[in-house]
Amino acid sequence: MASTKKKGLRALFTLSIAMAAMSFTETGIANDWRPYLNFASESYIEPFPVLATLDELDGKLTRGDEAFTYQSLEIGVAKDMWTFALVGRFDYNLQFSSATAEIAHHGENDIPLDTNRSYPIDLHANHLSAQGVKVGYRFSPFEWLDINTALSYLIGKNLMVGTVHGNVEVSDDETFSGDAIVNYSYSDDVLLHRSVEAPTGQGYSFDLAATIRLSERMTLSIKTKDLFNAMYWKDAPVTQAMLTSSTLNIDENGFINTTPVLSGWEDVRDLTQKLPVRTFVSAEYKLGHGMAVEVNHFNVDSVNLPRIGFSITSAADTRWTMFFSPTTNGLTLSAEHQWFKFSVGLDSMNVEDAHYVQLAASVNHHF
Amino acid sequence: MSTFSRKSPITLAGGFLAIALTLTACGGGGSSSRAPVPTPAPTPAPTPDPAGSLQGGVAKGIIIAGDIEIREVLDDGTLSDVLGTAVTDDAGDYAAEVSGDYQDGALKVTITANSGTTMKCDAPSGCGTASFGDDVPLAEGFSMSAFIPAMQGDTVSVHVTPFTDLAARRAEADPDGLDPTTVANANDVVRQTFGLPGDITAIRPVDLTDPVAVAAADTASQQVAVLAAGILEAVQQTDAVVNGGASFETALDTFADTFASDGGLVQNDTAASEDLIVSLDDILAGAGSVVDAVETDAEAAGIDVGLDDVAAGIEVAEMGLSDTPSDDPNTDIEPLDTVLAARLDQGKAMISDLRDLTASAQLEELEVAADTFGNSLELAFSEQVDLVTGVVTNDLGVVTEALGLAVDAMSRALDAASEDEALTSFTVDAGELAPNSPEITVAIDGSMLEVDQDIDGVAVALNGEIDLTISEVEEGNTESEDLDGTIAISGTAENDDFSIAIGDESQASVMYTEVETFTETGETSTLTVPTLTLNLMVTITASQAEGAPTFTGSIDVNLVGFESTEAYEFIAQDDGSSTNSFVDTLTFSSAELTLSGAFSDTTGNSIEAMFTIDLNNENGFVLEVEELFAWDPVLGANTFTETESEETAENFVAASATVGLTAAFPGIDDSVQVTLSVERTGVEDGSAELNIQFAGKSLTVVGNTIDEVITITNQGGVVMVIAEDDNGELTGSIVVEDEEVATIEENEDGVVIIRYTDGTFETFA
Repeated sequence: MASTKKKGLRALFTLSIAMAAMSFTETGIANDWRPYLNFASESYIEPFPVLATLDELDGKLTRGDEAFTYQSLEIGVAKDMWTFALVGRFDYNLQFSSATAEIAHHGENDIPLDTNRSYPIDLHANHLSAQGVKVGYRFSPFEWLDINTALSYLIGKNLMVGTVHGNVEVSDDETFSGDAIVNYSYSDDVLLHRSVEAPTGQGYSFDLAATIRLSERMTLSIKTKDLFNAMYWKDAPVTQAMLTSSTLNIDENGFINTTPVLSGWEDVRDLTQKLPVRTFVSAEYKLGHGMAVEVNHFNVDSVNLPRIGFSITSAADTRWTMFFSPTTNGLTLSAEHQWFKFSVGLDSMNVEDAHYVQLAASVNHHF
Repeated sequence: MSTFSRKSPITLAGGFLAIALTLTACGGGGSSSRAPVPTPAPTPAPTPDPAGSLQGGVAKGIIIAGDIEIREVLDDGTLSDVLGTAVTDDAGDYAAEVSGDYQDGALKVTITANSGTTMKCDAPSGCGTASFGDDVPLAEGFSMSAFIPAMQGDTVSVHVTPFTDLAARRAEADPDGLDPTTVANANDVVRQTFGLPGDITAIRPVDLTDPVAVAAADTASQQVAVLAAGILEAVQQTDAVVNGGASFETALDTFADTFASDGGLVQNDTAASEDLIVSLDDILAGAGSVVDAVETDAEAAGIDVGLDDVAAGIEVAEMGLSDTPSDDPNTDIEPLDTVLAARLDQGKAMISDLRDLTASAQLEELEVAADTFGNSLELAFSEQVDLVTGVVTNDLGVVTEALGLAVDAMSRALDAASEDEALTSFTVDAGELAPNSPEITVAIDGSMLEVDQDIDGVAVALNGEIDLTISEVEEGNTESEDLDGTIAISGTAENDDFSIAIGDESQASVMYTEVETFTETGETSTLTVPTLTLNLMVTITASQAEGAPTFTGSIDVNLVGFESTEAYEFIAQDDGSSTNSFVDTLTFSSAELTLSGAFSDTTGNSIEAMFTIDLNNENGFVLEVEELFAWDPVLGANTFTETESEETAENFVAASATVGLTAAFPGIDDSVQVTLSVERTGVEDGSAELNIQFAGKSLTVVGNTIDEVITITNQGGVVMVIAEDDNGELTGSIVVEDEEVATIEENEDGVVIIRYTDGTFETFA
């Protein structure tokens, strides 16, 4: 499992996310071609340490019903007000009942569930991996207002959208009973391992950001990712399944009429996938002498991650910022220069205990 | 609510979450004229292309040179004009095109005897004046028919047999009139009546008078032919009593009409001679005699026809008959609701049946309402196995051993009595074999022998009448003894735990020759048993076991061509070395053990079962074991070597075992008929066939060790094939009439999923 952890760490540290920092590198000097590169990875798994998901959930379970990971790679050039880039992204967004997380955690760790207790199962999954091209345009309608827009054309590579609902109960003899219904579309059947032809999908995503300079010292920023988006999948495999322990029925004449433990329907269908909108709002106040304080807030679905931070600009024009998140108790440290930016964030000093892991790096070059 | 495995919910919810997190189918022609003045040629009426063709076999015995006519059932229930004709060939087969006028309705195929039509007689007691295997002219005008609901496909097999004729007459007598439904229903009712494994129009009956063909035929073809011949046999036997033996054609015709008018077949009539009725019991008995006749005929030709499965099926079907005779026909048989179902639905129905059977076998662990199936609902299949094992346990050996000592004492007493005719009592020293009863006394009264005493804690009261001819000859160094006779034994043996009662009908007959030859260096003993038969009628009760399980039935042993030799030789060399060699050989031609009877207990549980083991050593394999002790004076020690002959791929003992029983499957049927046969087809290879008859349905499971493929076929012709792929995972398909309706696949989680062509899926469990 150690190697799995290392692979996970490597994945986390080579593909990273930092919503707060994703577009900052587009600031640069006008009239020049400026190639740039962004890696970003941000993972938040409320009930489990992030690294535990790479090791059969072998970690402490805490209450929680949200999980996401956003990973992206963007390589492009910027000229004048425009940016042109090739993009790749890997998004996973999960919402689930705490009981579902508990079942998953206990199952993977051979921990018995409480007997004679009902465990409601509720799981929503939304996953996309895609590649595409992105065009950005930046303009300033007013001196105090900068607007950044970006439109991406995406070709879908992998898909999973669906739900599981049900209920499970464990009896005193440790046998399970209950029912569950699965309804999901996918490119890879992770449940029943059905051999399928990968679906084809294409779509778009529109990002919008605004920076408002309220005063010389006060700046307000609003950034949205996937503000308008849709992925159109053709012939996406779909499975609707019912799992039940009520397999034996006896009619009034005493004859057996059984139903299978697992049954359902498989087909392909055209599907429109919608991605959740990610919003990042920040307010910065310059204190002077290269120092500033910042309050920001990240939201996706019902996840809210506020942070406060303090920054100082060094003599080498490198801005160092330290953020603290009261939700995750995490710290994020970033270093920003006109040619690069690097950011790392954890909610625990011990990375194996971290439910939140963020890493971002970007480089832009000035010809 | 039942439960599913511990892993399932985890796989579904937890697994999903964990995986997600981690990743995240003409003619015309003109004529010509020689006239110089052209005359317009008459244009023939256009003939539509044929709609397809029908083919099949016609048997009652095989019917040769019979006229085939094909007609369609019209919407008003009447029959169309003839759509096709043919004449059966020497094998009883026909093939006929169906006219393009066919309108997708039910079809009727009729075989009618003309003046030149003959039939191969396959009834053991003959057909009129003809004997088994003879060709017999069929009365002109004799006919049989078969209906099929529709012609599906370009070429359709429709076989015409007494079964299809019974169904045809039933359909024609249906008050709803002829249509595809009444036709299909009638076919299915007849199938159920006789416990046939599939569509009665789809199973080709084999020619029972051709041993080679019988040996090559599958079980279904054998079964249909044997039961058809059984009908002829039973009908003739009954007709001989009732009518003094009219023509068998007339008798058959009367039987079929009676079946149609009664709406069913009498199961087991009261057998009062003035009311003799052709019952299923009579037909099964007739079928049994057909098997005997075919096997006898084949043995003369040196062919093993392989009718064990059919014989077992007949025996099990007899077990399933009501114990209470009644002259009322069984009109309770309802056609299955799947007879006209779409192929896909038939496939799904078979999976459902398999699942139901499995669930029934596991019912004992569940709390279910008990009254609907009476006691049988409470009796799970595993309990019935317990019933058998409750009787047949190792502890039974104490009682059987005491019986064996008593029989041995009788034979010694007979030996003594042959030398002293005045002897009235003889005492045998049982020695260490019966430590608590070292002496066993046999009372002698002529050929009558009696043991009545306690033998090692077992109360034995055994009577024997022995009729043996023993001759002993001594010539030089050779002594020989010939024995030929019969032993009739009856009596009881019991202790606190078990009792064995041997009925008066029990007897054994044996013929053997034992020759002993002595030489200067050793001796050779040869025992030759040309035949040994043992027929015991026994009742065995486990007195102390819960419910006092009891077996009542027969045990039969038949040994042919047994020969055993024991040779000993001692050779000493001048140098002090020596060798002691012991060579034992054993061979036989055939051996058969059959156990048949009923297991029951005092709580009302009961099953009837039969068990047969048949060993056939036609290749003449000889088991030879040689032990050699060589004394080496230099080493002052013996060296020991042992060699044993081994079977080869060309020379091995062929074996087959058959188990048949009737048992209650709770929630399915209170009289499920199960037949399992296992055959040894090579030193390391074998095949097995399991047939289950339940609730009017039939499942046949066939597998072998060579290709490791299991095939399951049901009464509707649904065929499921399962095998293991290179990864050890199950893979297969479900096919109905050449159309694949589902695939079967075991996924990497070990879940076997059946995926149907309509997109639905399900698991076995």
